[in-house]
Amino acid sequence: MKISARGLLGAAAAAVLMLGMAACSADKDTPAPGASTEAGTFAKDPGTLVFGVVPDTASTQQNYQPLQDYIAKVTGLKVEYRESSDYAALIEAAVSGKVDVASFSGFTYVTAKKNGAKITPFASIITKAGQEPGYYSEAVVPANSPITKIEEFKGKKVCFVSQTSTSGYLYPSYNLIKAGIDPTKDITPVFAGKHDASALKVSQGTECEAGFAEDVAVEAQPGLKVVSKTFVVGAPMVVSDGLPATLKQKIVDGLRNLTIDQIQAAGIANADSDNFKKTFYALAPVDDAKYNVIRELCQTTKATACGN
Amino acid sequence: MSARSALQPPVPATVTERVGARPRPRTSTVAAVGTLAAMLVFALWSLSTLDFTADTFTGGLDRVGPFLDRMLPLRFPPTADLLESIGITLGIVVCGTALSALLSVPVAYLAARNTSPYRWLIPVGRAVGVVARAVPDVVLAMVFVLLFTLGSLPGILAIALHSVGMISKLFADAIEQIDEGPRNAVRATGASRSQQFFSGVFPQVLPSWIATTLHRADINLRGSVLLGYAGVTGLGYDLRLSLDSLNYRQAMAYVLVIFGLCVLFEILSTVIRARLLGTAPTGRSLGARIARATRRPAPAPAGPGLPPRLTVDAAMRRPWTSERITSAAGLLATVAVLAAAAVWSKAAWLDLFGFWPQIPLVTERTWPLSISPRTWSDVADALLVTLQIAAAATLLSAAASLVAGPLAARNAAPNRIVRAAARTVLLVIRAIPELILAILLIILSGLGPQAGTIALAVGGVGLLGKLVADSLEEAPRGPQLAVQSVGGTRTQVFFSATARLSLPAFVGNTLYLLDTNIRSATLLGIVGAGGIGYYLVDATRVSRYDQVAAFIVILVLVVLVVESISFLIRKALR
Repeated sequence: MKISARGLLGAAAAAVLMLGMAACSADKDTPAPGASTEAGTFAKDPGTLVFGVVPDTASTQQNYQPLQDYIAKVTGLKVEYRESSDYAALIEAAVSGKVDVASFSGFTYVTAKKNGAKITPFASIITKAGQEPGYYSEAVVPANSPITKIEEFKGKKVCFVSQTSTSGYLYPSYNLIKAGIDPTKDITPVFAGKHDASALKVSQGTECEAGFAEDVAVEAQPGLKVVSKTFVVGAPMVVSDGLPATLKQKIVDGLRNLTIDQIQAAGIANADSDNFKKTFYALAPVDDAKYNVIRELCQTTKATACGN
Repeated sequence: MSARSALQPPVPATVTERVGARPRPRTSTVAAVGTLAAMLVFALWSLSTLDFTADTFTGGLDRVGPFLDRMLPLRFPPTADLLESIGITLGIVVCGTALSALLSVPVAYLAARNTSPYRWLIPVGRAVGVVARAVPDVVLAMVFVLLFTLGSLPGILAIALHSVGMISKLFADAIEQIDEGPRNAVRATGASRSQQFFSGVFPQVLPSWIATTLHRADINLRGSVLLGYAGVTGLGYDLRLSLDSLNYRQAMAYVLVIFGLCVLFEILSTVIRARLLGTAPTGRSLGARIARATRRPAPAPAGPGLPPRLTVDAAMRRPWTSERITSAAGLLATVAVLAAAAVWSKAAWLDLFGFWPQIPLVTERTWPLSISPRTWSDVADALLVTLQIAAAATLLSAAASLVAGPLAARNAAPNRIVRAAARTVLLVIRAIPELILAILLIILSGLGPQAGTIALAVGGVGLLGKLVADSLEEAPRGPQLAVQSVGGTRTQVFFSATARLSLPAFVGNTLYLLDTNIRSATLLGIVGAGGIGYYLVDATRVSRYDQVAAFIVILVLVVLVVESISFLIRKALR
């Protein structure tokens, strides 16, 4: 392709125009009161924390807004909330240091870490007092099915959620392997895309004769029989290692054992809304070792989504 | 000049006396220009609030290197699997678009002013189109995967229903533009309504209808990438899986394949359109060149004596002229392609008869509509973000198209090489699905609306730049020649004649782009660009159909408002 001087000039003009517009709109905010002068790298700028979220369980629309306001209160910084239903986007953001605080599924966390994200998990949400952070992945069959244990899934059409689902694929694959069934050869896998879709298709019994979904989706779907369940480690909240040490400590200490009462006492808006109460009771401390179980599952199942 | 005779009227003293004062602009024109100015201000403000810090660009550039390392060398999947996926994707697009064209015929018949049986049905027909346009195909697909077997059928039906929006509108416009003569002639012989339609209207609109359908198939092929996110099989789904497992070597291989398909498809559809419409394609795109090369020469003028067709004997049967052979072959080829598509797409067609019991599943969870857990202020904020992304992207595209468009226009480009290069660049940009751009940009510049804005802006240049170039080339030649003949330079010709004449078209096309961008900005919510699209997708993800329906209603209203405004502006500037 030949490039004429005139064409170049035009392209340059367009580029200048765009950059000019971008420059005109560059941030001129004064740093927030809590902005630190200590060395560290931020996703955006020293006055802002970027809080990235992939809603982890398909049954609840987590309401992170009170949590976001509370982080702003604890740190004195502005908190920008970014949500995405696309795991890859958030993993990439974490790998390239574009999020300061994030909440994603255990599987996503392990993948991000494996790809070089510098993040540390510190807490996981629980919804009831005294709970271990996590939920159940359940193996289900239609209510009238003769199947009683996971070993009998062999040769059947089995519903999963999606290849990247912690409780809808990774744990189930592991359980199938333990039961002597190769999830890629001995069954016909069907990826339903969502937990409730997986539960629904199993209850109908035509497209899938058995399947897996998380506990909440199974409870919501009539016409199912649970044949086994496995505890799935809860989704971690993580903090970026690049942040200044004192700020990082402030976030971890301020949130690690946070309860809904504390959030309400701090006068955060919507902290007493039904929706928030339903999806948040407290944060329970977690550390990286808690997610070794997922790394083991990855080794055993050789799942594509593990990045193998 | 020689001395004038006293009989001639005196020469007017001033120009004003000669031509009269310049007429005052109409109120509607003033209002339209005012609205446009307000939109421009909004777009500029949107750009400034979208927080394009210098780091958005420079920081992104730093990450290109490491990302390329993870992307290259490409890893192509096994050929058999790849071919199967290509077959499924093409099958979905062809079946979906063909179904949509079928569904659009009755809608267009009701919506066109000159065929609608009752006056009140016209707005009904138009409204059906608007609603279909406002409900994104990916949302339809997410609902359909519940009702039908997973695979390609949900995708086919989603494309079929959503495309009715654009196809029925353009079909109806084509009907309204027919020459009424043949229809009146048929009506005078006492033909029924359907006979009038099939012999007086249908033959006239068929070429334009086919062109519209092909154009939409182009768009649907690019859109099929996104359907992968709803679990519809094909290349989009394969791409999504590779991206989800961060397997960029394979993901980029799929991106290349999709891109190649889009280019081929565009070339093919240009060739077919050119042959159908029987016009010499004026464009200089690759497709147009091929079309010119494959065009039949014009038939030689008949010799003396009666043309063979006018004998009584010949009039008794329809001869197999070359046109008839071509059209029959075209028909057979179409049937063959449709049949192949129906098979390749691997759709579970039998589901169409067995899904009725499932419908209550969705409907009972739809009513009453609700936006909870979001609040109205959340929705307003999200809507604003979506509009900001769309407006800012449109502004950037318009600015870039003002440069790229003239470079791609025959009567404005400095020379043929520049023009060919510019046309090629625009075609390449058009062939990249926006979603792929957005994902790449998010990978490079982090989550948030900026990546979505740039992705839409770049994609918009492909469309708007082409439309600008086309409208410049179609500008009436008279004024341009006039300026040239008094010794105007190329620049003077361009600014005083060519550009001024195509300004209304530019405004109209930019408004059309804004309209498209609002819908696309919604969809980018899927990959983390935020806005109302994220709410819609999130609600779909957790199957809260009451929310899905509520957000769709909001979107339909927004699209309606924007469409009405741009309709009024275009009308006022005409």
